[in-house]
Amino acid sequence: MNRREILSHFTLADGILIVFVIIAIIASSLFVYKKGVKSDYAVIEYNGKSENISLNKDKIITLENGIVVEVKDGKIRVKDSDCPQKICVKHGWLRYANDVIVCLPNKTIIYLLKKSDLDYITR
Amino acid sequence: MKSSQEKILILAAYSIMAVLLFIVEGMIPKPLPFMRIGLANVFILLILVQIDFRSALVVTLAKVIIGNLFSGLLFTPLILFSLVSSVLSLLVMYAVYKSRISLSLIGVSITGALSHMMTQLVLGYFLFIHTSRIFALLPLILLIGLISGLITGILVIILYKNIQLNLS
Repeated sequence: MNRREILSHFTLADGILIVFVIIAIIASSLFVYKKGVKSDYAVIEYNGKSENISLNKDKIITLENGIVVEVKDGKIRVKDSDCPQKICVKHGWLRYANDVIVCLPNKTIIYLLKKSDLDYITR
Repeated sequence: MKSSQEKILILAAYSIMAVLLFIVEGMIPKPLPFMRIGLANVFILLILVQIDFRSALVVTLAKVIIGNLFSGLLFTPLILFSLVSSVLSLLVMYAVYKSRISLSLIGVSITGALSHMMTQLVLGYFLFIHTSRIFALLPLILLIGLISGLITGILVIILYKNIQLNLS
């Protein structure tokens, strides 16, 4: 059975279906991979505690477990940490809602939220 | 030989093929567990077209139960994924095949593959991962469904032409 014979089976409805699915793929990927929403709050969880930090003020915080967190221009990063691989430091700056930095050795998670999300959590 | 005996033999043969393809495909290492072509669906769709819906349901159930038995997943929550999505996609394929929409077997196979994957995604959302972030997988799942549906559909057309059943 050659290629032409197989192609001859395709109907108009097949074509419409395939085009429709391709459009759905493009539309959903545009929706999923669009740029994140700017965040204004960071949540830092460590040692079973959770701390909210506003990103509007520049500052440098040293947590009890030795992690140094830097806030600057609405972004946040781990500036320094005493963990061996320093994955959290290499992660760089976070600025969009739902971005996360995790430092497993220090059991610390930093993630960003939109203000509306934060209201929901603190309520 | 009576035709009911022939039918049983064909059911057995197709079930074996579907189960084997299911198991072998599960053994192939892949980056994500749902990235499979669903080659077992070739024989399910083939029997749906060649005999009837009930026979296709038998092959589907054989695939789910025996296939998952040998994959070591029979009594795990994962069987629910397999069972619900397989049966549902068979129902969708049957409906589309019987409907007036002039989809070829390739189109039927694509709708089957897509409904199979979408069912798993929705089940995954409701049963295991209760976060809407799981729907970030949607583009990938649609793409896999489209490609696997195309592949299985073409295989069904080739096999349909070459396997002649004489059931009276």
